Amino acid sequence: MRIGFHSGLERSVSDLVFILSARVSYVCNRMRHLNQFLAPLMLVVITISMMQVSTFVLGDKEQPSHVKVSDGIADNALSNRIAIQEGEAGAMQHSLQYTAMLLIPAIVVLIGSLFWSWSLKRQVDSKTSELKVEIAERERMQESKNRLMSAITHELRTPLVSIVGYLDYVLTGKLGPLSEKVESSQQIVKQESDRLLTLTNDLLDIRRMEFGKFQLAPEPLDFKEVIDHCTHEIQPLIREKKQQFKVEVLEGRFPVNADRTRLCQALMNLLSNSVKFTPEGGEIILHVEADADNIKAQVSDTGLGINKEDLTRVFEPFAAIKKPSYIKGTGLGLSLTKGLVEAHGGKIWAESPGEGKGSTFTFTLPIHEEKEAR
Amino acid sequence: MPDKILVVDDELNIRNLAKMVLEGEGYHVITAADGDEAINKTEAEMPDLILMDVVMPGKSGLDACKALKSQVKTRNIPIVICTVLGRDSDKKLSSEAGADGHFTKPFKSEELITEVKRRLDQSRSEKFSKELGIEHSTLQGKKILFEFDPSTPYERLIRDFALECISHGEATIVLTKKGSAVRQALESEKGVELIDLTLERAQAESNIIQWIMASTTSPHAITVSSILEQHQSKPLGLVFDSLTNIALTTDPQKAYRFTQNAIELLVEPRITAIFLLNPSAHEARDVSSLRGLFSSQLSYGKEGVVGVKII
Repeated sequence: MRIGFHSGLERSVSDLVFILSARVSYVCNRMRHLNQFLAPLMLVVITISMMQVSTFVLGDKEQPSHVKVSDGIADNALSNRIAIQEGEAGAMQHSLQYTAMLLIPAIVVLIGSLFWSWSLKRQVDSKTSELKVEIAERERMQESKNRLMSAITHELRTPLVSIVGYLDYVLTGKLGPLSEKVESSQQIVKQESDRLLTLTNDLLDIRRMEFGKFQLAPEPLDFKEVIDHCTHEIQPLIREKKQQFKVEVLEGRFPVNADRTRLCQALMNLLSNSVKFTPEGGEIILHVEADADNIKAQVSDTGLGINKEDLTRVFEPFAAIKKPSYIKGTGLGLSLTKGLVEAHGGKIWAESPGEGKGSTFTFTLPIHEEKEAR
Repeated sequence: MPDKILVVDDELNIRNLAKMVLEGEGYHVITAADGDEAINKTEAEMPDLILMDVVMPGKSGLDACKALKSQVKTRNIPIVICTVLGRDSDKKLSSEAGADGHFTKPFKSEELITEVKRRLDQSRSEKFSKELGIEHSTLQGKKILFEFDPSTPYERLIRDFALECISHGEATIVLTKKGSAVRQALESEKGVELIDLTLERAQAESNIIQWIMASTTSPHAITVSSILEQHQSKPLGLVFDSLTNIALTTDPQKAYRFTQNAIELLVEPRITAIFLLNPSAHEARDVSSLRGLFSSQLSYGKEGVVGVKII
């Protein structure tokens, strides 16, 4: 299953292709206009020339009476013929001049327009190669950006491997006993390194979603298994903050086609957020129900709540939303959760009566009946 | 002999961490900083397990894994890919490269120790027979002449034989002499009974079998018969390290007679026995006459196991 936002690279390439094709069709249109203009022009020129020539040829038969009248005084046949010939020559010269007057500008226009179309073609060619270079350049930049991202992630994780690994070994006590103070301060280092590690993981996931490279491994499963897993996992955090935790799961089956690990990740994110944003002694409720098409899972708490204008912004990566400084997170949890829910074909939204009045996160998942069950 | 683990990682700190954690558990750890070094070290040192990073300058861990798995000598060494890349597709790449496992960094020391122990235990019960390309059951009851090149780590293969026998519930007895490579390889292994043989005492003995069985650990001469009496009707794995010594200290004929006698005594199918011989130390004629006594033969050289005949 492949999901995600439009890839930035695909978008830029398609933009360029669009611009390129728009330019080409614009130039072609202009060329076509030119041809449309040239063809009748040429036709007119040729027609006029033909008319001239035919006028001259036809004139040979009609003109003699006129010539005879004008030259009636002369009896000499020879002089008559000469006069006629002179008359023919004059008419021909006249018509040639006339034709030339039309032809020459036409030829000039033709040559000019040929030159113009040639230069247009050159412009298109050079623009095309420029655009090709630009596309290649953008692809290269995107590629290097990708490389940079994965390098950054790898480079960030590598020192973390050492930090977390050595710290863990120190905390096992195998390198010698630790005083209480040393141990508690090392535990803080460990928590913070774990947080950093989660951040790099989340960053990688978000990045993959952006590039449509995020892969799910879906399998038919009962959403109740996910609920059981998460309610078990969240217990230590709940106990630590002495909160009330209610699980209201309505009767019935919740068959989904989902990636178990990823779905657990999404639900755990919501639950641990609620624990985080709800003060000691507060209440957290997980309510799950289903209709014919969708499962609806709701995580409500009596915590800090969300301002109305932030209800959609909470799902943005690193959204700068006012919150107490003691609450720590990676800034990516909710946007990742949104991505995960949407990857499964569901929706997610937040509701809150306002600051300090608790909040409710709801997500849906399409029901997927297994074939055997049908 | 502690298991030898090769840790391959381009990060010095991570190499040292794994080394520290594993040495703390008593393993012998060697390291390599890239794929090429990993291949060279593996060929030279024949580790029991390799922990391999993926992203390294030069040859990647996956390429090194493929290379090692395509060589006869190294293909049976378990390789666990140990990387920060933990997606399903990365795991798929690991198994496609022939790796035996995939382990995601960062690791907790306990996780690393558990994984290493599990892998080593897993390979232990089949390592020797896998090396020969057979099942352990095919091996049982065979009397094998093992010809070795003394410049190779042949003793590791003998250790693998002993450990495989133990993991199949067979009593394992190794007859060797003090300070030998085989003894060193096996002295820290639980469940292996080592009997040090001495040659001085033997000079006086007339019975050649009794002579070779004379032990420093026991005041009485040990005979093959007495060993068999101790382990009646139980499956037994036996390693005879001293064939070369017998042949060198007595005349070849006596060595031949001894071996012939021993094979007859050990004929029962519950007994699997390996007789070690360094063919380069003897006359070709003597070697070939000794060879004639064994229907099953095995030879180990610089390329690992180079000849196998198990009948």
